[in-house]
Amino acid sequence: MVLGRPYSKLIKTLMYGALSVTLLTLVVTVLNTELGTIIIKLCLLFFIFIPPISITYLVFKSFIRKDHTMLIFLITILVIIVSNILTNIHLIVQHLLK
Amino acid sequence: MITAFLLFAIATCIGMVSAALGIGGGSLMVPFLVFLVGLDVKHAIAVSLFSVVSTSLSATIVYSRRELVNFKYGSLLEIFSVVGAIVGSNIAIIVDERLLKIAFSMILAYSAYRLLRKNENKTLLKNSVKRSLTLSSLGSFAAGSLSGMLGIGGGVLKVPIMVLLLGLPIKVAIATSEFMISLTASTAALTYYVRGYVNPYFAVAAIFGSFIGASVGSTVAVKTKPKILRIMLSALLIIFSTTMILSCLGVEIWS
Repeated sequence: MVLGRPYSKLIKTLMYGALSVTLLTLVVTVLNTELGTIIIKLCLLFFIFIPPISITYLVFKSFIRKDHTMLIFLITILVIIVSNILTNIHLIVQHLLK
Repeated sequence: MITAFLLFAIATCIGMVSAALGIGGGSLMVPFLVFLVGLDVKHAIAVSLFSVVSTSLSATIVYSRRELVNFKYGSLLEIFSVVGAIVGSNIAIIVDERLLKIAFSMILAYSAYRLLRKNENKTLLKNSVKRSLTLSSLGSFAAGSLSGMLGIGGGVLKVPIMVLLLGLPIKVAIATSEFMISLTASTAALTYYVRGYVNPYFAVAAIFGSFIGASVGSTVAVKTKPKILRIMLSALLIIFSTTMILSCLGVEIWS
């Protein structure tokens, strides 16, 4: 199953997106430190979410290609990652509002 | 400002080496952040985790574009690795740390020896694939447990497991290891992020440095001969093994 190229493109798009916004935010920080810090915090959070997003993509692809073995493995990983995010969701909100 | 540039430079260098050898680079990054940049350990781990996520994602972009990542084996081994890490961190309190370190350094030294002796062209027979998969799943569980117990990244053991037990070519093992590391590191990074240990500006410097370093490192690794990669990885394993034995004897290199 050839998954590498589309997976690579997805991560590349997400990474370049996050890095570009972060660079722009550094300019904003010079003008308004508080606003800049909040946006950078959001960028970092988005950065952490890139692997779960990419795994969701792989789950979707495996489902379409009916690769059930890989689908089970990926869903298990996704459940672990998502449960960790949900456990910390109130802390994430607190941290962003701080 | 100077600290951010220093961090950028360190992250670039470590990202290059880590992406080329299929490790996260956290165990290399943390000492630098503590002793060179002057961060305390928890803040250093937090910044290093962002660097590891960036390294692994950047390397995965390069490796998966060349179809070197084995997603099926990677996702299977990752499950065992995560479960092992949870079990390991829970039983760490009842096991003697020195004994663990000695065991871990022995495994690393043995892996280095086997990697140097291994013939890359030797492929697995069909009937031995199932056995190898079981063995490598157990190996991943053990690697995860040891990382959980000793608080180190499991990347340094993932590549030898995939090469020696699963019979994957070294480049595929390195690429798959980076894919696995991106998942583990992002989960750990979130934990440090929500507890407020992350300095956003230091994290950004580390992310940019690692991204550039890992792009270069992984591109170089793709073009490097497998034998040279095996020698480099073996050297790294021996360094880790020696450092661990020395710390058991009370000699702390970084201090």
